[in-house]
Amino acid sequence: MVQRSFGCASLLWLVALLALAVLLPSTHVSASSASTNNWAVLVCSSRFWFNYRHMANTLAMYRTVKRLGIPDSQIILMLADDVACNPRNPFAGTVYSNKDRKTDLYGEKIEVDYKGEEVNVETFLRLLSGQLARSSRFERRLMTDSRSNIFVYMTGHGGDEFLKFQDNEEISAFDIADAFGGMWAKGRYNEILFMVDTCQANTLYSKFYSPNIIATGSSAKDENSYSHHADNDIGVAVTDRYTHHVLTVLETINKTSQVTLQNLFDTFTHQIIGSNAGVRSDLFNRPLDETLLTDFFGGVSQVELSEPLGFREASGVKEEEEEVRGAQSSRRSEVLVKRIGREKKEPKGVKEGGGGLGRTALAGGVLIALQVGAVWVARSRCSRVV
Amino acid sequence: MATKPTAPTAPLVDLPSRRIIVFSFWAILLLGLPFWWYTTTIERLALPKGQVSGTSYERCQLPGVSTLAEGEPVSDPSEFSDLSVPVATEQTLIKVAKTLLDLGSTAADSRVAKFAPRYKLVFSLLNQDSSTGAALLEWEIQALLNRHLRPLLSSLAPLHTFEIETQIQYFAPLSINLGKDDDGIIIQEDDLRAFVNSADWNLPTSVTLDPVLHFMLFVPSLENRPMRISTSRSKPSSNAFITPQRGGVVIFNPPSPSSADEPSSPLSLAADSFAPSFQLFEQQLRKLLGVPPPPRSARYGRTGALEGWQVDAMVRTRLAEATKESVDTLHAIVKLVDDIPNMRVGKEVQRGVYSALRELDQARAILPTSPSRALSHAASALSLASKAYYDPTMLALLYFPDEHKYAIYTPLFGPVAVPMVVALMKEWKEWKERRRRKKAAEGAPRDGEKDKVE
Repeated sequence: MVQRSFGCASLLWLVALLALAVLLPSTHVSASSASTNNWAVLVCSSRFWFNYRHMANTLAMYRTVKRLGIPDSQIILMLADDVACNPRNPFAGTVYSNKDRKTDLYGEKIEVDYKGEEVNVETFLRLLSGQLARSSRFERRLMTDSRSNIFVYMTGHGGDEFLKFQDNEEISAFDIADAFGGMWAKGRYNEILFMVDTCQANTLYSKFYSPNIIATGSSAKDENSYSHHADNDIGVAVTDRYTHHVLTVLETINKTSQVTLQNLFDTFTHQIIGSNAGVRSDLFNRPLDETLLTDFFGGVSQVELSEPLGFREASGVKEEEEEVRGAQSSRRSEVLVKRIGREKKEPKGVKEGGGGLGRTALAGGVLIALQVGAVWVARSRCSRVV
Repeated sequence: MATKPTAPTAPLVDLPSRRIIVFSFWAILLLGLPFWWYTTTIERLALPKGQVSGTSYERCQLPGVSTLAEGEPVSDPSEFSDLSVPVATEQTLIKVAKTLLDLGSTAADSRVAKFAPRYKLVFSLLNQDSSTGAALLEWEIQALLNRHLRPLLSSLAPLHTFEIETQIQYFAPLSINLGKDDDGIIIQEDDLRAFVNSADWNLPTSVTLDPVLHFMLFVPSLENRPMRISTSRSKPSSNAFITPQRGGVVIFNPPSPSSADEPSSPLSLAADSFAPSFQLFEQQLRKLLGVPPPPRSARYGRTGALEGWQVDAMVRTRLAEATKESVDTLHAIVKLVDDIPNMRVGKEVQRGVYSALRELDQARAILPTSPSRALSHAASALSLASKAYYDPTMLALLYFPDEHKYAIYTPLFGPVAVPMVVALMKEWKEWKERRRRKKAAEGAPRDGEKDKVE
């Protein structure tokens, strides 16, 4: 009973944090992404046939980040990889994440970097920290630097502050937090987008402490994450609700899209996902509505045109050229302004109109309402239990 | 008395052997303790923490007085006239001096690739679709590289060594939308971010850990010529762009095949036709490696070999970068070891940290006489520090809080401890009992005497 009321208290706390998380970024100074390369670490921590959906989730995410421009050499895919050629698979050599079976996720050019029993806690932590055996091949390394944005996606079975790896061992929230802490100390990332789809997923990022991490999970503490639908011919569930939803949103964007993380997070509702998907952005120092999805999912964040040969000899334009070096930041903010400007012009995609402040206020209002609701629910639950 | 009456509580074994048994169990346990302690303690060799935290980036920075060209110490901007920099006015002179002196300390240009003693340069000739005809299936790459890049690369010898790889691809599809206007095919500037189609272009990656810079000469398919980049700015631009730290792309529209040629046959162009593209590559390489631009009025240094001061400025920028990074890495090691008590620190790591510090000291000592040798010391400091950081043994044990330890040790030691402690207590009680009885036995005769006296 004590534990129950504890649960209630922490639920309130989480909701409060959530409200804070959304309201905070508006006070931060806006800065554009300083990344020059994007990496993705996609981890499916389950194995066995009945966990088909986790494999499918991960492969679908792999397909998406590849489609949006991250080269295979910069995608680390960790997959038990035991479903495509499983004797129970009626469609041998394929993996589908939708019962329409339109897209074979196991079709072409799948580079699984760590498979089978190599997918374990130690390998994952070593991969992040870079402390791999000297002999390990470059494709299996995360060769990031202080200008790399990393997208970390994990799916599997988890619980309060842990994620199970292949029914064998667990990784705890502390382990991941420490790994990211070490990466920050060594300058191994610029920004991280951490996404996890598992039961009680939001607890997994609760221990993070290093800066520039934005985290999102499929379900709050004491909540389950649910699968989306099953394919009757395959005989098992083929995808999870949260991942399915994220992928559906990502399917609408292309390599040059201007859709932001805030746009994505605004689409998370209990009705769609079946659980309270969480977002933690207190460690992140850019406003979410100015952070493009392609800053994490895309390949290249910026290019610079080369001036024609002999250009510098021409008088008049020279001054400007000389200042390019020093004026990097102003150039970037100009690009940013341009991005925002365009965003307003074409309200395409998932985003709805309204300025940053209005949206924040709206989000705040919604969250406060949500919090009041949550308090009410929690109290009634507490009183019932106690 | 002939027969001693046996006590009803007589033990199964006689007293001395029972004692030996109980104490041998305890002895084994106590002897085992040091082994247990030794085998479960995490090896944490001492790191020179004070020395590392004392090594700040600022301390490793360059002195104000610097050598602009080998053997020509300049402490005053007026002494610049010694150099063969054909600068026009005093203003420019001071500006140049400022640029040069600031180079080492300014924040790194985000376009410049991270410092590495070795780079791999990959030159690719990419035909969008050679099956549409008039494709470029050969280029005199050796001659082109020798003519346009060799001078630059050789003058960078004090900083880097280069490994060059080239390739020709016949099919390199684009995954962006192309526009069209009266002058041909256009690509919007914003779409350039997605121009390099790494999913379909088979771009080689490094087999080693050296960074790779890609230079791509993109030849549009016949129906997409001429292709150009459309910009919103009035600034003139070439048909080329760089992606920071990664490489550069030049879109090359070959001259249209003469009507006499079979349209499907590949073109063969003289090396001269590629010259502008390779000059652009050279320009791009300069940006990616952080070659300081020559003063505006200067007539040299646009292409070809670098001037001494340019190399020197680069050496100093890179020296600052390498020093900063190695100091940061050393700090990161110490911080990690401090923060995570389960982190192992082995001999390799300890040795690496000490050697990195030594290299840094040497770099600092040698800097006034030879910046380029200081750079090589800083580079090896960086590689030693990184090696220590990335040492495979430097992985913290998994999160292992105290309650987990209790959970592991209690089921093991609890059942063992109960009989051992009980046996020990029993033994002790009996020993006390015996002593009391012995005392009583010793005292009894005296009592008897007393009785007699009374």
